[in-house]
Amino acid sequence: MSDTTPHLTMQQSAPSATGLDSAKLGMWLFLATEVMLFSAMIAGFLDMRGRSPADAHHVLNIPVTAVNTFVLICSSLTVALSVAAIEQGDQKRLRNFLLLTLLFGGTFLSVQIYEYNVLIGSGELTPWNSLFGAGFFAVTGLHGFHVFIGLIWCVLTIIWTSQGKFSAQNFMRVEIFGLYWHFVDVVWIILFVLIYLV
Amino acid sequence: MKRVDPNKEALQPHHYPGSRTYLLVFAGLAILTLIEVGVAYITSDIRVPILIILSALKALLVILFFMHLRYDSRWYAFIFFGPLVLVIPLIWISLIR
Amino acid sequence: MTADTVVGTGLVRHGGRKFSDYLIFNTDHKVIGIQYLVLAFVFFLFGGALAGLIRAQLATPDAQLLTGSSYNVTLTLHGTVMIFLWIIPAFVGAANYVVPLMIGANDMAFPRLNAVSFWLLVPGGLLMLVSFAVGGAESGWTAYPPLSVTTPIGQTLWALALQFIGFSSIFGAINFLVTIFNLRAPGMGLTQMPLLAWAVAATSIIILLGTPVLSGALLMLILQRWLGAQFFTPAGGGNPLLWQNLFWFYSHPAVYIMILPGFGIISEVLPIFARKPIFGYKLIAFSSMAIAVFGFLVWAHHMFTSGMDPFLRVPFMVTSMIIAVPTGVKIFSWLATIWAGKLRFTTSMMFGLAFISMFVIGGLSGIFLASVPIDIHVQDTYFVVAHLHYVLFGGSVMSIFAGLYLWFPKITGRMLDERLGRLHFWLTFMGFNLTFFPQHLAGLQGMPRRVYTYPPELWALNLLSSIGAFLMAIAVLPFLYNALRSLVAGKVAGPNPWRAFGLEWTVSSPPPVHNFPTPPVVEGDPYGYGERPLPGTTGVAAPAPGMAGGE
Repeated sequence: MSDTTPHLTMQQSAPSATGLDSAKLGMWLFLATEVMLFSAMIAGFLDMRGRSPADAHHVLNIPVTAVNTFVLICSSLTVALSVAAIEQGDQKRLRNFLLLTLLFGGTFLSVQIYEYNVLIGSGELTPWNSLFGAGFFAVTGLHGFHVFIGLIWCVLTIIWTSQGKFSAQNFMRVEIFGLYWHFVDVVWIILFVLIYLV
Repeated sequence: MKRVDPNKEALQPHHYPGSRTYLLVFAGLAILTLIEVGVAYITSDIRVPILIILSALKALLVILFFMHLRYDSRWYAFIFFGPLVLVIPLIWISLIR
Repeated sequence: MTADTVVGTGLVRHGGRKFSDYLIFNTDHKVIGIQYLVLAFVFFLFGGALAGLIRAQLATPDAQLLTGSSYNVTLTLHGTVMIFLWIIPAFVGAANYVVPLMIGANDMAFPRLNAVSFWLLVPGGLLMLVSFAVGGAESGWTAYPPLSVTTPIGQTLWALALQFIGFSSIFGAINFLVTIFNLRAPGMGLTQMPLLAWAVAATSIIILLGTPVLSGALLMLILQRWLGAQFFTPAGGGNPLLWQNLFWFYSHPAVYIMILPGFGIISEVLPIFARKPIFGYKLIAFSSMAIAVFGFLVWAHHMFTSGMDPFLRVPFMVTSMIIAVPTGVKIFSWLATIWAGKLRFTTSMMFGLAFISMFVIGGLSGIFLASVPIDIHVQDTYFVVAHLHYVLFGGSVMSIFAGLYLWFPKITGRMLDERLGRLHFWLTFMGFNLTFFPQHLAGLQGMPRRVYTYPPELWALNLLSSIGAFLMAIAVLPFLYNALRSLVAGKVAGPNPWRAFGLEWTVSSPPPVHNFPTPPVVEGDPYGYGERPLPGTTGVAAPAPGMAGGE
């Protein structure tokens, strides 16, 4: 990690007693926290789901969401490819794949907002008119918020890329952004099945 | 205790899979998603366990390959999968009536 | 740049030498530790004042000082402030200051994230105070629906405040874990770490895996209050037990967040003042980890009377009793540590010994409460109030004071006055027991908690409690005077006033900005009392001259 204020980052060059990179270890610990957060939300959703009519999810648009799921998987691929690119020291490809990620992620979020608009606008599903709606908006909303944070992070990573901060020897920040992005994708893979298909 | 300087290459495992593996994983994810959508239209109750297994498979693909867990230190796998032990009672809460 | 210079002059600095260094975004773990401790102590005084209000109301059977509603608000604020803004941050502060020093690190793993953690606590605390100015939460710190979804807007702000405090905790936990894993000095394996580091690691694991569950539950509570989502209200088809399950899934492990660092502090205090190595190092370390894991499997013992499936009561009773085992292992290890030691009754040691005895009382009443038949009988009575104060005040707060008296010389470079310290200790100890012991009896006679009046037959017990509370309030005065006086006129401490092992005692008091001017040398076991010489001395580690008796 490069920084213009050396005194604040002195620990980042400190040796590691376990041989694990501190920043990456911290990110995995953070993901463990996220696992518990989403588990709690899914527990809440499943409880509300169990108290709703069996066909409560029929108002949801499965084809559109299936395409949207595909879009998010594409974004995961482009992030993986961007890590592969900088591993080879290819900054230009890194930037291009990150831009593609931004495009796919932005599309996913836009479609989700459109879905919310349709559901709430038509009154078919709202957080307040049914338990299924309460659970649905809580979980997908929290996930959407995570995508939003991921998009901001992606923009930052693109800026760092254009400032030439990454190289084949130094790309931990890209990898850590990737971990976050893939995790958000994993959560969606689970949610898509639990909410839309089951 | 072995000590490693993170600025040296030792901490940056360069044995991550290349673009080819990523593309193969992506293809697997896409196909599994298609199967999921197809299975969703089955009316029998068997669809629920099938769907859950398929989604777990997809999640594992992303975690093992895209997130490099297959290639990285076992510690990371322990940190990530360890909490799943606690997720069981948490989910169970929501299923009891 | 020498090792002892504050870096930066603006709002972002590293190191504390001037007063203003403590008021800004400072990335030095020692400064952040002090920021946490001071903020937490201010909230301790505030929470104590609220307790005083409660005890004043309850001094007579039908006092008119508070009404039902304002009494509810007061007890909710008292509980929340004491737990989330005093005990937890005070431990974080102490650990922030000493753990990096103990393991020979120059700072925490992520200094900026560390400062972010502290500065998330500040808006959390402010939001908590504001929430009570706009019509406060009345539901107790447990916030059970439906009461917690019908109370005024203050309850929403209360929930938001807890979200801020939760983020602060989680970032802190990640930081501690990475620090303890990665930044240990050369030669310090995991089993050469001081036990406080083990305790903080175990605490951090609980925070990491428990706090997000509370965040999720609070998010649903906020959605219910803002958008009318019917998660928790039976009237809308929702499930009040969902809140209770999620809340206790976090909050039972959270009681270990509030006590494990105390266990760690006591494991430091006892060897120093008994002049003996700690007994059962590995057992103490591993029992902390066992508590961290098993603590997640006992939560429903808080809900025996909540309408849960009666079939589940017995398994949860069994797990709740099993978790007493690792705690018992620690108690016996500590007793074996002081057994036949050359005890020095410093104030720190007095608080340490009080911790053991008071915590055992609280632990035993905890086993009573884990037992289903007794719990059903005394649920929501003052017996529970007495139990939780024996563990949280008799346990946690006593250990915080033991740690403060131990490390005050390291933090400030000045000794605290021992006579004033002893006055503080005895007033606290007597006031505490006078306040809370009678509450066991009141509870057994059926006095319900969280009610602002009571039948006249219980007057004598309640009056004793109120007198005790008054004593405890008085007890703070000698401590405050002592601390402030020592800052200007205390005896200069020197690097190692207690003749203790541990890397934090090998540097000057207060330590240089970057902790270790030369790389620290680890000599194995951190508790070599009576076995090997202290660094820089000859002969087997002798007690400090000020400590009565010879080796």
